[in-house]
Amino acid sequence: MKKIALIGFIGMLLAFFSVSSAQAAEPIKFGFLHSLSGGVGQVYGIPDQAGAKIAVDEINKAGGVLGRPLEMISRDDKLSPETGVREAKDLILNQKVHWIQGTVSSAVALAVSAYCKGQKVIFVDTVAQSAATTGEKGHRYVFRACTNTTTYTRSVANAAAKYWGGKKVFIIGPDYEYGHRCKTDFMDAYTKLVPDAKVVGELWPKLGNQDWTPYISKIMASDADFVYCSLWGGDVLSFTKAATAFGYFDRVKHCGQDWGNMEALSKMTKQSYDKGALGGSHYPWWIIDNPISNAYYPKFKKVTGMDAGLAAASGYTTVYAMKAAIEKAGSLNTEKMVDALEGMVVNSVVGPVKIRACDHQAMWPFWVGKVVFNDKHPWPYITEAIVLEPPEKGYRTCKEIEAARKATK
Amino acid sequence: MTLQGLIIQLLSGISTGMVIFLIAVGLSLVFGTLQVLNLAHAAFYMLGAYLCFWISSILSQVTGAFWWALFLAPLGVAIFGGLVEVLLLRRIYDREHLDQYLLTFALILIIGDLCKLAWGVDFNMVPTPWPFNGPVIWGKIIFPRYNLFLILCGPVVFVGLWALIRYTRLGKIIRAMTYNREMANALGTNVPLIYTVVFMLGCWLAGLGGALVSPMSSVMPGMDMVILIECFIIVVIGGLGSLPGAFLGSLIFGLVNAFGILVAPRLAIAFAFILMIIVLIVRPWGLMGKPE
Repeated sequence: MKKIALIGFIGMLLAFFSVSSAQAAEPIKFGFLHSLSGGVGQVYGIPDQAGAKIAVDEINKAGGVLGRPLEMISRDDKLSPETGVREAKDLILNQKVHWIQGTVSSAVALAVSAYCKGQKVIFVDTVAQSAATTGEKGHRYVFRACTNTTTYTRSVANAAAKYWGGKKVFIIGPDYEYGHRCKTDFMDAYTKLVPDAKVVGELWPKLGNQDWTPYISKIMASDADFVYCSLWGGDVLSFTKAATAFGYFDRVKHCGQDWGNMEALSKMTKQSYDKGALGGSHYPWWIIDNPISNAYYPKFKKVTGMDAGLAAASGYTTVYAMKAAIEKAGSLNTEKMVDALEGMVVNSVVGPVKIRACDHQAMWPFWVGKVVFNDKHPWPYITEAIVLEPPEKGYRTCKEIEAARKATK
Repeated sequence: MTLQGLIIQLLSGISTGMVIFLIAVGLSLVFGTLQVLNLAHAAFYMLGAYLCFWISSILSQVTGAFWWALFLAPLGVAIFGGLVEVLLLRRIYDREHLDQYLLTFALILIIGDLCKLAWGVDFNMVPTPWPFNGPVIWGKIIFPRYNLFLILCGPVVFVGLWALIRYTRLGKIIRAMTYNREMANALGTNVPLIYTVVFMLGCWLAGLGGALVSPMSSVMPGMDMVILIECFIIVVIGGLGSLPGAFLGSLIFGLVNAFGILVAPRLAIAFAFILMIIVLIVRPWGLMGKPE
């Protein structure tokens, strides 16, 4: 009896292998690791995944990469570095993926990046913004296909100086590393443009703060020329709403990278915001006019029902960048793919974007303009946008990156 | 800082305090009568906010949608609370405190996940209702109308509850039961019924707080945890189980928070905790509580 079972088992194994080898082209697997649950997942992970999926479908329909189809394996990092690394481990060791892309939390991005460094597998950060990922903590196997905090703050500082140019700056931001780093970077950039500018007041509410009244009343009582704000996500919504009830935007000049961020603003109603803020956008498809973008944003809307934002743009772009890298390398050899990616110019939805060889950071432009809410779109959007030209100006130079890496060693 | 600035900051502090009073007073009332520290109280608050969002978006074409939602949402929370009391809480009154914490903590997770299932994980907005949208402007003093309305709500609920406890038959029974549970039971009070009613009242207050907060903030998962900690600070300062204590504690909390932000924003969050620690050392039963 046992023998028969054994023979049967071996037979099944053989049958399985013959079937899998009979398939002409084995798919090229890659890992999609992102926050797919929770509010952050809804806003960033899901659209990023949808964008990547659209790219995979387009590529497979057109014949795949090196004649092989792409296969995306999605995992939820649950915004936790431990979960992120555990999933990355499974993707690399068991699923044998050729690269991993995704993440929105910089803590997850840094943890996954460190793990991928050890495994010598490419990791492409698509949404997480900490400058350290490609800066101080950068290495051969980590890339980023979106903006970072440096370009946010430099672009906002540039626009604030051009539109307003006041000397007294008020700072409000979330009370953790990101908020404080934004303040330092912003003031560094702004004082280069307006030399004697200084901070006249700062507020550091906790993330997810509910009652903004005492914060807003303090800002309105100050004599600052304008406010630089690094709040993001749900805080943007609740702050804006409470501020509008104060008539804040009619009286205070307010700027911040996330005030033009469609992911947050698409929930806003006309009553909760009208006009008055300066905000930024990674992918203002209503301003951009290039064939890739013109084809992509209607398609994204049709597939997902959502309007395309940052995550939709970077997930899609990353898959195409990896396709180009594999084709240029002519193989799935990681070292050759890294060499191919270094210095590559990717034709993205925001136009040609260079992946800088020294730090593997994409020179993604960042648009900053006046945020208005009118009948043209169902959410507030940026107009009269200013972009740093060339986009390299928004990033630390290769020399600065090298110095920063040395300093942290 | 000008005088106008100080006045606005004062009003801000009072409005923060009055919102949190509505929530903290329910927690305190339930503890005073049932001797159960309901950790899930803030989850009922979140449920109230979600119901308010849901009802006002269903009725968005109806004039006064928010006011309907403000009326219905707390009722919904109270009914849900009544079910929780009858089906779950009732079984554990005689158990140890740890069991009560476990059950009510489990309720936080369950209600949180139910809200996610029903309304997703997005941030949601409730429009500020007419006639309280926009700011009031007196000379240099600018203040949101809706926050003035909230400042009024606090004392109204306070006086209403006080009158209920002081002058009605239900209030007398509640006071009797707070004083001596066994004796009240021996004198023929239907204790289980009163427990259900008081728990429902507590949930109604939490729901009312949630519904009132929703137009000035965003409705989202996790909004309960922040409030829960603040409620604890307030009932510790004011005295657990004391109605005037909850009012005083809330007012102090709001003002300490507002002026903390004004004077030393980096420490604003810490001030309330420091105050709580001082009260715990000097008057462990709270400012208006009774020593055991």
